Amino acid sequence: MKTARQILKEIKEGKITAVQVVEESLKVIKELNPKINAFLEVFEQEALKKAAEIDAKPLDKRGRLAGLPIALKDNILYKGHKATCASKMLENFVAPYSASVVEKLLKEDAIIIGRTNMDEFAMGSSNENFAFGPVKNPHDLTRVPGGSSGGSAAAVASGMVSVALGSDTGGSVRQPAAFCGVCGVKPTYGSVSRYGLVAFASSLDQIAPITLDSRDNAFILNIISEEDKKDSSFTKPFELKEEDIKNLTIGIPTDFLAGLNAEILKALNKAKEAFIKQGLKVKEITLPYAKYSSPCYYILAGSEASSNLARFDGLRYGYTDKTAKDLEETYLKNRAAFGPEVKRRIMTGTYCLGSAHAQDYYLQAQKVRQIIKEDFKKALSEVDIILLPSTPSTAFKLGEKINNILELYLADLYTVPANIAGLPALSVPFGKDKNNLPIGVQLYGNYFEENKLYALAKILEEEK
Amino acid sequence: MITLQEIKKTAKLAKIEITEQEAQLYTTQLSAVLDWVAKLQEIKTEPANQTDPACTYQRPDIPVNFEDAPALSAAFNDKKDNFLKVKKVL
Repeated sequence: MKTARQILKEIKEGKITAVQVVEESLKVIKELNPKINAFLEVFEQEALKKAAEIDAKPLDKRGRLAGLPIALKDNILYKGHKATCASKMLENFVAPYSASVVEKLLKEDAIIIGRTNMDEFAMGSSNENFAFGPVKNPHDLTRVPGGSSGGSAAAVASGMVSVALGSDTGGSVRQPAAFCGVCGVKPTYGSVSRYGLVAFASSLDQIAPITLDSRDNAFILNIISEEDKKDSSFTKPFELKEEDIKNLTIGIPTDFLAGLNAEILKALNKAKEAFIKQGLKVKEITLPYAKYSSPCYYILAGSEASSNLARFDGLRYGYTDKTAKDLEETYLKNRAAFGPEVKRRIMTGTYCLGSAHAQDYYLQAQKVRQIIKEDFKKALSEVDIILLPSTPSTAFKLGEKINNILELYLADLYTVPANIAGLPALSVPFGKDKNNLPIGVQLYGNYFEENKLYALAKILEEEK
Repeated sequence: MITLQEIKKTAKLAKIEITEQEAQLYTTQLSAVLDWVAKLQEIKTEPANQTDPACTYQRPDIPVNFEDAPALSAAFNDKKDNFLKVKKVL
């Protein structure tokens, strides 16, 4: 499998054309997608046409991504193309405009090759909450790819594309990246515009790249992270630079790792050794409130979702039930088109925001969020980076946890805190378990310090 | 713990029609979720640490025209003279 950098270099040097790159990508998709179900739609003719246009362009007029096929998670809008969020609610919705990140990719001459499958409205960690069939893990077709950006992670891991965009609200990029053995980041909150991303939980959502390695990841994040007045949460762009890692200290939160699966703990220790070998210091730290991140997340994300998803009434766009007699019944029947997990989340949020419960649930969760942030602030004043696993287990079997909601919710245990605190976190594949399934380790850094994460990821990538 | 009646009321507030079977299923499932998230109530919190600065960025609210209005009305499920048509309100 070629990285994005290799592909771009070969196109630039004239060793291969953009059309050939797209053809190769389409060939792999045709061969593997019937088994993996990563793509919901492939823009075959359009991608080939765009590639031919790029090939005809003089070298000095081409953008930085000229000829590179990129897949989009199906909650990111691309004008004139469907964006369904893998939901019956938006089955026929055509995007009337493009997301800012898509505009940036197109400006750099990337080729949007298709839209990838996901958990409905990005709610889930197994890609089993779907309207259009589950995604399978390319490493073992009987297992889940993780979620919610499972289609994007599986597409990269199986070599269909070298880059895919996903969105991460509680781990939806990093968790599937870990399950599929690829690299996924959750950038600092406010460093990538969400304009044109279907909103799930606005205080947590970030768009992010999934790639084969950390260098590609930094390269793509650098391109999509650009100031955008259309997203008022935008704070500061990510600027790619070399980082001096000599004096960095890595923190290991021993309390948060209690009870961790032995094989994943072993990988984590191996990562620690690799850092020590490079002369980095390692220090034990505590994160006493980190374990509250998951329950905190399910209250806040549910509450924000109940508000954000109120827009789906099936009137201006989306699913419509023609049997309704009046407006109230129209709402009720149209919104019944949401799948079970989306209904559960909206109802959890509605309940937590209700006047009788807001004090105990929503407001308490907001307060706890601040305490968790303080927890990380304190830890990151003592160390530069926090080392964590990406997931509590490797990829589980399809259907294994579908009836145990709480167990599924805990698949996000180590990814959710980054969203709660707004911190950047990077998942890097590092070794495999006894079933030959990828293990991901995760690096948490301070706000806007993604460069440190990428620099340390290189150490892990070279160690393997 | 949430009761069947509360589930039905919550679904109504969320404007989602659910069947009797769904109501029963969600009662069990949401009870488990709400009992679990109630864990947060064991943390002692101060009123001061309530607001999230991440949600308080302020920008001037300047309206801009959307360049492709026909693309929006094209998605309307029912329309008359390019206006959205809805069922009677009362």
